[in-house]
Amino acid sequence: MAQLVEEWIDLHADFLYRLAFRFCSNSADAEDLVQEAFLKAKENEDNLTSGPGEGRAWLVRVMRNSWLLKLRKDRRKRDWDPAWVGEILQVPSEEDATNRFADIQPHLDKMPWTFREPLVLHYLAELSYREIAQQLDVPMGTVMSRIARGRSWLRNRLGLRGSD
Amino acid sequence: MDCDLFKYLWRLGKGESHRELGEAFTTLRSHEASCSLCKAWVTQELALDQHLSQELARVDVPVDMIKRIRQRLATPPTEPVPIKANPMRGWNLKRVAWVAVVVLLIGTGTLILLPQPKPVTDDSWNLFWDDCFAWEVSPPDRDRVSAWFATMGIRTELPLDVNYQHLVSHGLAVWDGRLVPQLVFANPSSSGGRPSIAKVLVFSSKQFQLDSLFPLPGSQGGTRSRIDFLPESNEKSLYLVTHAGEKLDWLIESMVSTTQSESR
Repeated sequence: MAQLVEEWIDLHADFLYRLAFRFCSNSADAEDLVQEAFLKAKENEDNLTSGPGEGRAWLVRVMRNSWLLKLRKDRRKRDWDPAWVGEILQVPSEEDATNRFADIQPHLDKMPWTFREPLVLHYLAELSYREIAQQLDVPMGTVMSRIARGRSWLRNRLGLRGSD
Repeated sequence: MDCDLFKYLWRLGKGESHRELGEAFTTLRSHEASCSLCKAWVTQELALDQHLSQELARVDVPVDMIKRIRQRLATPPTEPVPIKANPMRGWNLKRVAWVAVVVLLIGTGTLILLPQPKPVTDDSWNLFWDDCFAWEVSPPDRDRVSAWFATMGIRTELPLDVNYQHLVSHGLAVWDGRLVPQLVFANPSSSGGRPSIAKVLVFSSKQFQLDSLFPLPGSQGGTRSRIDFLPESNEKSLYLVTHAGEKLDWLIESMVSTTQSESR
């Protein structure tokens, strides 16, 4: 089974890091989240199954839970605004700076969490509306409307074409 | 197929590869083929989707991250260091604990006695817009309205024989100190230029002695409102409907309305 976790690292580590970075906008936190997800996989390796797509879904779920737990622990979920937290409390590394000022990230940072999370899960993790509804424990119509409004938000700020 | 419905179903199916839509998928395809506006819209949507997917995936992964993950997994978990016993520690902790309990009690009491105004948060706005969206996509039917009353702690038998497509609002009214389910219906296409409004109050035999509602009083002076019972009222639930005196054929689906006031 340890071999399965090794396999997952090769297959999913890069994807998981991208997702984590879009969640927390910070490379150090993102890498921590990825490491924690694989540590949990190692701790639970006897219960893991190797079906197609299961590893990725399992890791996404575990990482999302860790991130929400961290937000709750820091008691900063409500007031959380990575844009100013990043600018005021930390001097970003060169790597952070490259990613931070990539086209989409500043806009994503300002997006409310309720839109940002389903949007990232849909477009980056490629989860269907149904899977996102299951993960977030909300009705599918809610997922649709949140993704539509998040998408509309980004489209307007990026100056892209399209309609609501 | 209407273009708005096409867009809605297309987005719904997008997350499910369109397969779960069944027959609707064929209708979608034929509408897309025949409507140039929708065809252009789909092209734009797909381009935007592709752009967002690419942009979101454009994150540089740190060099050697995989190596660091493997190193961390290979490191055995550290044993917690035992804390040295301190003779004063227990005593201090007890005092601190007592002070904390007292402060907590005072704080809790103050919070209970002085309710603070609540800020309107993003989450509450999101719930509000979700409700608006849900109402636009599919207005509530009898089952959903019943479920809403159940969440408010009211178990009720709502009328079956009314047209829920005309429902514009539902909530709770206060009648003699008790909460009574209330449904408001409106018919915008009524003759006379003004919409017809009908308010239905649901009286349950568990809350009221239903016999005491008879006979219905006539209209009070100064008001045009009239009251009737819906014909499907029974010994467990009485449906009192208030309206402006017009016919209720737009509301009652079976049209068998023998109004109490007419019989009087």
